Amino acid sequence: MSGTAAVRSLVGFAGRCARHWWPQVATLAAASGIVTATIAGALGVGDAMHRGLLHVAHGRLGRIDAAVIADQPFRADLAGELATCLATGPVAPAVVPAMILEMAIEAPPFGHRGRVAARATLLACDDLAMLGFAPPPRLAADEVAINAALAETLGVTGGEPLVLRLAVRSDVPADSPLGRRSTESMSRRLRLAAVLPRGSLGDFSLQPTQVTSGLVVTSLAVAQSILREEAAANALLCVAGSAARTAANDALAQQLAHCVRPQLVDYGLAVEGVAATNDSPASLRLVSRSLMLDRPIDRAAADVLGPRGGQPSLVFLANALQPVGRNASIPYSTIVGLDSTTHPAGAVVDDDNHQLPLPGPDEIIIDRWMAEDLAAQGSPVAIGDMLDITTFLPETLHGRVEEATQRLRISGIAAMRGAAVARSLVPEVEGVTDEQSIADWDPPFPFDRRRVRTTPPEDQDDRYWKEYGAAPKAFVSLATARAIAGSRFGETTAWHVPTAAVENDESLRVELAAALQPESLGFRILPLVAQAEAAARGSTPFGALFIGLSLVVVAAGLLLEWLLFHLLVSAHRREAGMLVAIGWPARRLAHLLLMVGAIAVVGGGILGLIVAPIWSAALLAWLGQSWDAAVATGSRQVFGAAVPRLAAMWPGMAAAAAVSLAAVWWAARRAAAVQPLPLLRGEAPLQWQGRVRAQTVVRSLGQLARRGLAYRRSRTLSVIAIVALAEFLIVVVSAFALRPPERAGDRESPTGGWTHIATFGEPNGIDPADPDVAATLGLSDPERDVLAACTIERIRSNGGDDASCTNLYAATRPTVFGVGPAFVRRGGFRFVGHAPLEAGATNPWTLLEADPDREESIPAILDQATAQWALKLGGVGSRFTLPTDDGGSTPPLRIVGLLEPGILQGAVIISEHNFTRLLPRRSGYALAVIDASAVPAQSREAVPRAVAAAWADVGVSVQSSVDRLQSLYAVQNTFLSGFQMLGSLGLLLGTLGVAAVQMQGVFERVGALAVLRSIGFTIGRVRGLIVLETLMLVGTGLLAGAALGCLALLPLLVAGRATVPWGWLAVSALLTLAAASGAGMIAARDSTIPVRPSAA
Amino acid sequence: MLEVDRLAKAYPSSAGPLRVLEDVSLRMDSGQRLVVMGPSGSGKSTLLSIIGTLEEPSAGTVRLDGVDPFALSLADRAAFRNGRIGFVFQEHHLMAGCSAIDNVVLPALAAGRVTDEIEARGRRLLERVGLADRADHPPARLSGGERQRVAIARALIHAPRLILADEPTGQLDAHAAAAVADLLVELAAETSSLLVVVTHATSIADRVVAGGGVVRQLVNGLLQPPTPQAPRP
Repeated sequence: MSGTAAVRSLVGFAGRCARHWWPQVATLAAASGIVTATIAGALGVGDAMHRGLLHVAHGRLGRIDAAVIADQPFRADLAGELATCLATGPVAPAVVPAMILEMAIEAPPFGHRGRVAARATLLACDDLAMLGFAPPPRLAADEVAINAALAETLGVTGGEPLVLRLAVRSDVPADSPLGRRSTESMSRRLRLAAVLPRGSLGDFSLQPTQVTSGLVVTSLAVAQSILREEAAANALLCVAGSAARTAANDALAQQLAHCVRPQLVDYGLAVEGVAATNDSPASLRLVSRSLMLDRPIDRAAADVLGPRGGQPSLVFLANALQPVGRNASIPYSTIVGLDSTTHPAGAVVDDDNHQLPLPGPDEIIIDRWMAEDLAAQGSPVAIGDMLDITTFLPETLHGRVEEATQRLRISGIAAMRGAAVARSLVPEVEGVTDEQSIADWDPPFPFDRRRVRTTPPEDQDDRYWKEYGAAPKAFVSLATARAIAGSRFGETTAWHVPTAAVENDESLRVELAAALQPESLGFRILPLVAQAEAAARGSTPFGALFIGLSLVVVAAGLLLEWLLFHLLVSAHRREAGMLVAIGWPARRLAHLLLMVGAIAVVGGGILGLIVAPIWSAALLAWLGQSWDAAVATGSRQVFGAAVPRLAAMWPGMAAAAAVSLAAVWWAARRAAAVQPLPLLRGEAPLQWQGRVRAQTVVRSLGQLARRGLAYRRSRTLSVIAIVALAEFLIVVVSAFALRPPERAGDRESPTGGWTHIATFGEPNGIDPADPDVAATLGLSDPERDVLAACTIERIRSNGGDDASCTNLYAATRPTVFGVGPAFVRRGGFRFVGHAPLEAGATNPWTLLEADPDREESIPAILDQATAQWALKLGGVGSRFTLPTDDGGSTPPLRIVGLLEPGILQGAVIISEHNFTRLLPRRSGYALAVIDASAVPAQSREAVPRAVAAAWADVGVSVQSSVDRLQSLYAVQNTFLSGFQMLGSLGLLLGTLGVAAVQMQGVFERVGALAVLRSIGFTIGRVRGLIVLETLMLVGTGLLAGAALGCLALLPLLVAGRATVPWGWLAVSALLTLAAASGAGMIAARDSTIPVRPSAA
Repeated sequence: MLEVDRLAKAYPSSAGPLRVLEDVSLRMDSGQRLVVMGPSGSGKSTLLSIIGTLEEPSAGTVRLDGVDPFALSLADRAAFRNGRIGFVFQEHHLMAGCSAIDNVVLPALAAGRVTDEIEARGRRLLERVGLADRADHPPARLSGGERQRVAIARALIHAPRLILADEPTGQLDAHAAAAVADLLVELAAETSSLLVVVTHATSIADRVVAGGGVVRQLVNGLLQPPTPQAPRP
């Protein structure tokens, strides 16, 4: 044997064939490369987005692994106690106390610049270096640092004075009549010491967010001083310093759950000693800064204090006590509900010192003072007489304090001793119990001073106050008290326990604290790293989305591969025929062709994998730019934070190779099944050749071109199909571009008729429509006038994650909105679908108010996009649960309506009534929607300023509904333009397919074309024939695609819900036709078609 | 032994069936040679294609060594063709990307790998057709006669029982054509293969049947009786 070894295997033979057939193999590889690059590039986008989101989320945390956040300030010393406990566990993190609050900041007028205000997050912390942000700013006591984003908003660079304004949270819930509706804020003027650049502490946020919000950094002492909360914090930041943060995060969260052990004071609770009196022994009482004891506290107290003889009490305020049918009245009195008239704070006894029986369900014991005062007013009462008792409802109704009256029978008159003079039964109320005279009261509730007798000689009420203070004037059973004054905030104001039953006060406090679960009382343990990773999975599966958007390209690429493979087989049909003739089975020939195709596909795959990262990067850059410009400024960082990894794109290559090979295998089997003789004779395989009708005579070049196309009908139809498919999809998808409504005040539009939306830094009870509250807001007359002309509906929120399409992060704890009865009655917005309405009802919003006790689930309305994509909840009738504040989950919610995307996109909307049931600890309103349609046109520009002024103390952002819609719509429109871009690429591929088909046609007909030249056709006329054929192919595809698209859209076009983008279609069609003409010119170039047929 | 019995072939057309072969019968024993001659369109190539199992008859049977290939499945028929029939076409139909030796051993790839034994046999065949020094040359570097000799070597790689040659010298000059015809006869004789040659050229027909063999005319689909031939000089 000598020379080079003969080919030994099918693989080797396929290799030699591929090498020799390289022009066709290379073009097939290029088409395969396009498919691979498209699919792998789309996956690369998904991967880069995921890692970019994770990178940004991690970057915002610095080295912080977990945090403990509380609703109310607690002792900063809790950090040390927590660290000591954690040190005994497997993860021993450092614990840094901090204050993290939403706030308002102002840059005072400076030079030509007016006052600029903004909302921001305050990070007050003394150990910034520990948090892992470099380099941390060094701040003096009168200095502040802000991040670059905020500096840009405020127009400051450093050295300027800034005014920080922090809302002081009321200890008493704003939704309680004893809570304040207006919000007090504390201000401090500080010097801007540093602007924190991007990529540093300036990026800090505990929430994964794509946009860097305003950040203010001060020392902890500054925040404590502003809020007058000495040695307090509201956050504990845990820094484990572990390299394996993800793995350690669960362990750290478990350790935190074990080690977070606040003391009673951290919960706002106190166990206070009550000195013995002549009538009662010494006792201890458990009270809360929020007046009411939360139910978990109540339960713990029952467990710990109950066995020691402890008893609960519930005190409430009676605005008036009035004998039925008479004018006499006792104003503003406390009534206490007891379980027994033998109470540790003192017994309820009659004048003979006999213990009075506990009042029944409709009974009341009044004290001797009241009985005598009523008699002095000319309305003496006796046992058995009826009293009307007017009280505030225990919860505000949509932020308004309302009164109610109960009628009770007098069952006894208590002597002024024991419980009747026990001030300890009534917890302290700021502005009430701490005042020397009733005339000095500054209560949070509506207070009618005219009812109070404070001026001698009619000063009975003031004299009572000075002698007995807030001691109760009447007694009811605890059950009656709870029926009148119990609420979601609790049904006990204090527990009393005899001191004699307690060995050690401090031990009792420790025992009580140990019986409380921090999570149920507003302490939240946040495994931040795990949360960041969960959120970084993203709201939108960008990989799948771009594969979807690229389907036109993939389909066009695959059709192109199919065509090019046929071109390859066609070019080598004689060789294939020879192999069949010498005994190669069809299957074997198919294998050979498949292998040749596979070499092209794999080569193209590798090429595609090289191109894919570039394609991904281009898509990410485009997305980042589009998102930044139209959706949320600052989002670009997420899109550019990470580059796609090859590892993530391999599956794309494998998938592309699989579908490409499937296409090639299909074509190879068909090619190999052809009889050998036609192949040997050089006849083209796989052509469905039309018949030429004998009667017709070709009379023009156009007819000749049409005859040429009809003769190779299957190939012609394939190309038309590519172009038509691309055009069809582009027409259909482009028609759904969204535009905000022309009139924001249209109630049936996606604005719901609301012209503005305001979001607050702190939930609050501010109601500018309440004259008493409005008077405290410091509004100018024009601002007051503008607000008076507006319809304002305040909405409750759980402060959850925004699940709208503008948020790139996945919503792990979706936002829940609670809307009030007025919002429901007003209706508005467009519903995609809703549950059946009751007969005669037309407003689907009323479905939210279905009787919750009768229903097994809570009715909810949300927008279709959020239900379908972001939260994946399903359609109308679907049930789901949501996580609650204490780590549990809500009772089932049921979708009763789906909205078109609108200004409330991204939230689960339930009735306010159900909101307060589901989230009892949430108080106040977090946002408001404003309808300024009734404001005179010349004053409408002042609406955002007036709204901002009304809620200035809590930090407010006001956005017009149209702007909000534009940013929401920009997401869909961005994807639409991406689809148009990728669809155009599909059209381009279709044009390449045209070129391939025409080249093939020229090769196959070169003899006939040469004859045309030999009989006098100029090369220009032959070229014109080919170009005409090409234009016919593309034009037919474009027309068919556009016509089918319009047909599919017809119902929507007629309804005015979609528009055909004629301009864009015309431009893309012209460009495609121009490209097709170029392809035809190339196919018909002079060198391809000789003048003498023999040379062909 | 090749037995063709009452073979007919018709193609459908708008004017009714187009009869290309009618009632063709012939019989060849081991080592025999047959030349089929006739005018264009007389059905010569169709007859060869049917005998070579490339095309199915409309009627009649073909048996080679007692086996009816049209009773076999398509795959078995391909294997039958691969093992027992060698084709030489008017055009050489060599794989342009492969060397001469590659082309010779291609039939072996139809069912598996090319073994050392097959390659050695291929090289011997190339040596036999006078192309030992051209074994590694691609077809593009061979003359027309040389390419046809490679095609003959390819047809003989499995020592077929039947060699079918369709105008094997149609594209060669007279000198090369004579050489190719002689080579076909010699190699068929060496392997005791039946040889059927379709040609227009009387000179080639004479060379093939010289010393044994018959020439039969095919006219309008009907095979005429054999014409007596002079002994090979």
